Amino acid sequence: MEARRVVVTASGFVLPQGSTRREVVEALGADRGPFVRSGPDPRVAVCPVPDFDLREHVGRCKNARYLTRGQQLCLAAAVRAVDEAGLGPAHLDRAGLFLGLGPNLQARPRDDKALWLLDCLPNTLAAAMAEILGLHGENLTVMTACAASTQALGQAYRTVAAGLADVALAGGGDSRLSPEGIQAYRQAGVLATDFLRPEEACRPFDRDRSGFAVGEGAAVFVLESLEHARARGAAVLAEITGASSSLDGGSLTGPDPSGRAAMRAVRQCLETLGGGELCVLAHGTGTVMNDQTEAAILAETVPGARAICAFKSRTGHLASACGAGELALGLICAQAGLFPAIANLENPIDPALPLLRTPMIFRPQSMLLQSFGFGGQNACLGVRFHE
Amino acid sequence: MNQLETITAILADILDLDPAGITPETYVIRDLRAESIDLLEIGVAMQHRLGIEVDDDTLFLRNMRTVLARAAKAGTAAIDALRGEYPHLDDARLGQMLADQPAGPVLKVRDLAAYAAARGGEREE
Repeated sequence: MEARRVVVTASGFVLPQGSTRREVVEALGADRGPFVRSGPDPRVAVCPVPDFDLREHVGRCKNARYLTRGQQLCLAAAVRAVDEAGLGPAHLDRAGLFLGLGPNLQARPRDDKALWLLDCLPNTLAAAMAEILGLHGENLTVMTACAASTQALGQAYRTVAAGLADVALAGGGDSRLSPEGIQAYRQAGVLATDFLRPEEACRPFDRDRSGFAVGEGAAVFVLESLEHARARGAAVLAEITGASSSLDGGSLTGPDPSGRAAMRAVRQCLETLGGGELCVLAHGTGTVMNDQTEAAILAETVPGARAICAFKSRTGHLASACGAGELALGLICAQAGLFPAIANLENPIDPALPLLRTPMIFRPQSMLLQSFGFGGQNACLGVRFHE
Repeated sequence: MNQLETITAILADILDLDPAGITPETYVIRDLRAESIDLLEIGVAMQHRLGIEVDDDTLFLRNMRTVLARAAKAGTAAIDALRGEYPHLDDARLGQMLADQPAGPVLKVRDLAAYAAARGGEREE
């Protein structure tokens, strides 16, 4: 059977910049992101989702007691995506569900909670979401560190392309703002610490970068086969043209400096995009090693790109949810025809790269999303727009 | 907070409900829709917050149908069988339960409070 074309027909998101397109567009108009100093550790910059209350998005939800904050953000995003898509029970019954999630760093044995085991199980969110939304199809919970939600989107794309589902929800949600999350990153030595103001902490692709700032948020998308979307008259936001993943097989934390496996994943997606003006949604963490390797990969693979964005400079690092969050922002910017500059980028490590130094009025024909996580875990997604 | 208030707070917390809607006469399963995993959490929370030993089978009247079936087979009076199984409930309440039983699970919030009272326990500060 020939692979079917797969389109994105809705996105739901809960991000530091907001949970509606209008809020996000307005917030991205600022010079920098809404960062503050972490409560548990004021040496660290964080970018929280303000005043998040799950009930405002999904109503009462007793199973929320087994969900992390990041998983609750993801649940809210999924409900918003389904609302936007206008999918009914018959569509949802056989719909797939592909989530990229992170570990619960606060889970521990508890005398006062009978089923604390559910705090530790990675599929608890999928189960709770399935109950609320009536999803009963193909599914997978992906836990591949910071590549997880990008990889989940890729698996959803493949599932719909292969005809195993007509509709699939895909994305992720995460938050590492807890004391445990901050401590874990600090001890790993990946956080920016030498900054005067928290909004200046994260400086992707700048010579003076020193690490990332911790963010939180979620984004979930509705993927459909093109025929299915057309048959029900759904609006098409974009087409997914390809997905790829690879493993460095080197360090457990830093990227392979040669970027060999990551580059292969990038090229696999690039080949599916066709021509036209390309916007790259870079991983761009602002860590010394990641950006150095990624800049070399970008120079090698996409020298002709029209623009390279690094949204982590504005949202902080959404951990396992970063790819989904950045795709949501990329789709919003593409629709608005305006992409923000990479915040805090003053002295680019590679002046030849088309890194966005100022806001750009621009409607790309295609986007390349790339996520490179701990474990040398690489994932990419190719997205194309049609008039 | 007395034991009933603590139990109400536990139910509201675990079932994500407004405590104002929970009274001693509220049915835990029929009205509040508590499922088996919720009952597990309620038992553990009562044990933890009230400082009592909890036997889930007794607290949630889990074996009521079996007890009644066994009594019927042995020719024992239903109320006598229930009295032996649920010593924290008085005859008046057990009588109500027998009459009410065909309509569904009979467990009420007051039965949880009666269990806690019979077990003594510490008052939560």
